[in-house]
Amino acid sequence: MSIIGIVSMKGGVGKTSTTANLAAALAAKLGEHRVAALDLDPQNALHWHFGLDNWQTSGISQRALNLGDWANAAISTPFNVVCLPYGDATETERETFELLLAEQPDWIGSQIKRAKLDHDAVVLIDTPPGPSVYLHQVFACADLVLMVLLPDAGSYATIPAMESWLEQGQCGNPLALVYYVLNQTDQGEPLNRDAAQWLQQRLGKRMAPIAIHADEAVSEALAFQQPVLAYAPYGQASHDFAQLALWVINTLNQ
Amino acid sequence: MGHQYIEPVSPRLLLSLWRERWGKTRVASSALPYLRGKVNHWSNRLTHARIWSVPGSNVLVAAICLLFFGLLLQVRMSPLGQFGFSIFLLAVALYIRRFSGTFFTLMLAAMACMVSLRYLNWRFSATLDTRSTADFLLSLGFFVAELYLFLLTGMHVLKGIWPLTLPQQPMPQDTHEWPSVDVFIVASNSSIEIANDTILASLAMSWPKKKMIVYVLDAYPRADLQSLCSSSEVHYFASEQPGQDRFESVNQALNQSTGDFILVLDGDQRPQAKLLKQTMGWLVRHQSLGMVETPDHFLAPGLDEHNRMLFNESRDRLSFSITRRSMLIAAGGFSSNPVTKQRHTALHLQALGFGCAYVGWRAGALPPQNPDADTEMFCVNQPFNSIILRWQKYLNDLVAAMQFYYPCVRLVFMTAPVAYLLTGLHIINTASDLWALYALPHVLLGYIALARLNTGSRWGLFSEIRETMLAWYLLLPTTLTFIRTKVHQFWSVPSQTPSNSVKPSDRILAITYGLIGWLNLSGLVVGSWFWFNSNEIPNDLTSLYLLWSAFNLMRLAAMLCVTEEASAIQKYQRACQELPVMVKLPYGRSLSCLTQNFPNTQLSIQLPTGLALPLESFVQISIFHRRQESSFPAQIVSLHEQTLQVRIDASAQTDYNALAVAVFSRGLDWPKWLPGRHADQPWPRWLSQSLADMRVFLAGKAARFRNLIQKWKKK
Repeated sequence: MSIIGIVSMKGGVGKTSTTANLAAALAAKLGEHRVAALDLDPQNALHWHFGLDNWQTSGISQRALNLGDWANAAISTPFNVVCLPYGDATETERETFELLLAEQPDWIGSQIKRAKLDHDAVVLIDTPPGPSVYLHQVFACADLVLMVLLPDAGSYATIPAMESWLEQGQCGNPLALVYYVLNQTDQGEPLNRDAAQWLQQRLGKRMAPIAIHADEAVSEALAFQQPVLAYAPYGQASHDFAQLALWVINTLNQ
Repeated sequence: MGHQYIEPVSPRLLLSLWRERWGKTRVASSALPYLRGKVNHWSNRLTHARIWSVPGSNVLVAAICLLFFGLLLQVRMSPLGQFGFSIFLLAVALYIRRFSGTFFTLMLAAMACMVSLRYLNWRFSATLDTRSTADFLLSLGFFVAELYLFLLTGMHVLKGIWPLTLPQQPMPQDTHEWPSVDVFIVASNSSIEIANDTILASLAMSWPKKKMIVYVLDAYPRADLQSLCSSSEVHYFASEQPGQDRFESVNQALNQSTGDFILVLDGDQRPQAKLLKQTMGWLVRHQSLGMVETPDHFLAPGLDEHNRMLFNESRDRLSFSITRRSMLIAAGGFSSNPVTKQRHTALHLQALGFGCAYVGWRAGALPPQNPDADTEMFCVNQPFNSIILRWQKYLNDLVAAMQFYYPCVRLVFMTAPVAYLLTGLHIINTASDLWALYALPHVLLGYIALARLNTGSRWGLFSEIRETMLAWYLLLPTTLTFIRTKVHQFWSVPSQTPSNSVKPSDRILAITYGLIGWLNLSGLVVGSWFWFNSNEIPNDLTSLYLLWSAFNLMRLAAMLCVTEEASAIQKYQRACQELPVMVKLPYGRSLSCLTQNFPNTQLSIQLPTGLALPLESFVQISIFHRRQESSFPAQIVSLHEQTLQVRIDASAQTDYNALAVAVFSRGLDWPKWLPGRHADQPWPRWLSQSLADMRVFLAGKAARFRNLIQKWKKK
């Protein structure tokens, strides 16, 4: 079983869409009942990518407080991905959940183990941006951490902060692999192109070899509540996600 | 490398291939010019002596010389005598080979002939094995093979003495005197994008615009090509009857054009800008020159392989022919009648007494779009005078006919040593030192005579020796690495059946060479086992046969390496035609596709799904290669169900061509075969380094010693 954490320092880089699309791409490669997507972001946006309605309000945040079984929070989607949404939590519920997580740094990890998933299952965890208690949870249990970046000046400026942050996180779990993933690259825009190139030079081997191109199909797919591989299977973003999924599989197998 | 047939690689060819991979050429500065010295003066005096004006004197002298020659051939010399004689001839040859002049070429040819005939005479009289009929037949057969080789080489030498090489002629200063040229592009077999490239390249040739008109000849009317031509101000002729061949197209277009000269190009040949300027010089200068062409052009009678080797051409050469209109009309147009033997116009012209010249073009190995390929041009001329022409023609035809049997003879040479090693039948029944005494001068003088013919400069003696030793040495690491690679492949790579089917001709070749390889290997094994186990060293040619077998095996290994590399290159180039590409659609959408004909500026893209875009609209396409993305603006030319054709913008074409060069270039992968070493240094680095250090040390000591002597002298 492998756990992949999708993290980022800044907001709005496309973590949630990356998590959803990568999960769908992995499911397309690996088959049914092997991929699960877990949403740790209080925004509770992941399930929109899979066309799940919001009336199912009981997500993992609420069940945690009632010490309920996660199995009932898992919703199968028509895209071969099992989605566990954060849930429509109130402010107090959220704070209580975060206190719980702060007390037990490996709570998410133990919950996943308790779910007794198959040994070849893959779990993707979406996190809120910036340092948070959810991030520590992910660092404690993840096998692969993907840090999503946009090719812009802001991302470049925050690399030192990100690296020290990652170092701290890796102390708890030195076996975890950490890679940066560029999102929304566009050769046509000079700043985008130069920033992407500069980031690649700077980060070298720590950057994943596949970058996701800027494609309106990703946003349109969300509007249609589908992963982009179902919405625009021949688009460049779908192609990139498929390649990224292959790379993730290879990296995890090493 | 010949694509028609695969042959075992000669050591020198292997050396040149290694050098190509390393990017090192044979150092041109070590090529020396031919000298003119006192001997030239003497030879001039001899050839222009007044004695030759006496009628009949040359016949008399020739008869005396021939008699002398025959006597020398016949005389039986003792081994010491033969040795002395050979050394004398060799010394003379090594001395006069440095000087220029046809007289010395003939002298060298005569000396080589003498020694070779002595060898063959000795072989015939003293070394045929008469113990049994099988022995005798076998050794006789081998002797016939050697005789054949001698005759062939002799005729090549004869042929090679007289062809002229003309330097490039400059055009007259005044451009008004330059003749007008019609450029015929026979586009029948080319697709429109390739024809377009040719048309653009032809229009870009540097020749006065008013004196050059481009015509495109097509087998059937094509509207898109016609519109392309009218937009580029190029005339377009299409034949009415379908299936018209190239000759008839050209003949038809002749009637409708008026230029003084006609340049005929195939649709896929991209002429370089300097083409007309470089070739028209001869035509303007020599009025009786009717046709200048490359040997492979469809209007030219073909050259045989040996002559073609004089051109040193790569397979990507340009093929064209330029004909003088007045002579063409005298010959009645390009004859395309397949019934008459004289199908080719060049032969027509020669029969009428006009000359025909072949042009060699040494193009670089870059893809054809690169206009800066380094070209060098030289010309082999068929003589213009019709009397000499006929004699030369017969000689050429005879040589070509004999050359046909060359593969047979090569096969004999490759399997000859096995006859002794496996069955004990003697091919050359003699002692090894006696054989060396006769065979070595034969080989050496023959090599000296042949080497003189092909180039305008010569290599020094030490340079030649070093090259030969290096070439022969290189067979060893090639073979060793080949064995290592094959063993490695056998153990590690799981057996995959090859995806393409093997062609029948390839299979026959594979079986033949496999058989030869196994025969030689078994001969080598058996022979060396017997050799090591015998008590006394037999005084026959066993060691020669063993070395010969080993050499055959190494040549086979080298051949396999070279052909595997050639096929790997082909596969790579085919693979490079299909690259992943992203087409940017309006409203921020994109499509991920594959190219179909990559380096073409009119790019054909395979669409995974239907697309609705207006024609002539502009799109941005990005080509991916090795994680690099290169973006180019392009305009849609045509859109069918599964294919999109775009034309790269003219402004981005230089970048696009640069990308093509980068994609198609291959890295240096042969250096992995000899890690840390250069191919042309046979000894490892530590040895050459220590030798260099020792040389420096000794030079220092010598300098100090000299200083000491000088000081002592002063005292």
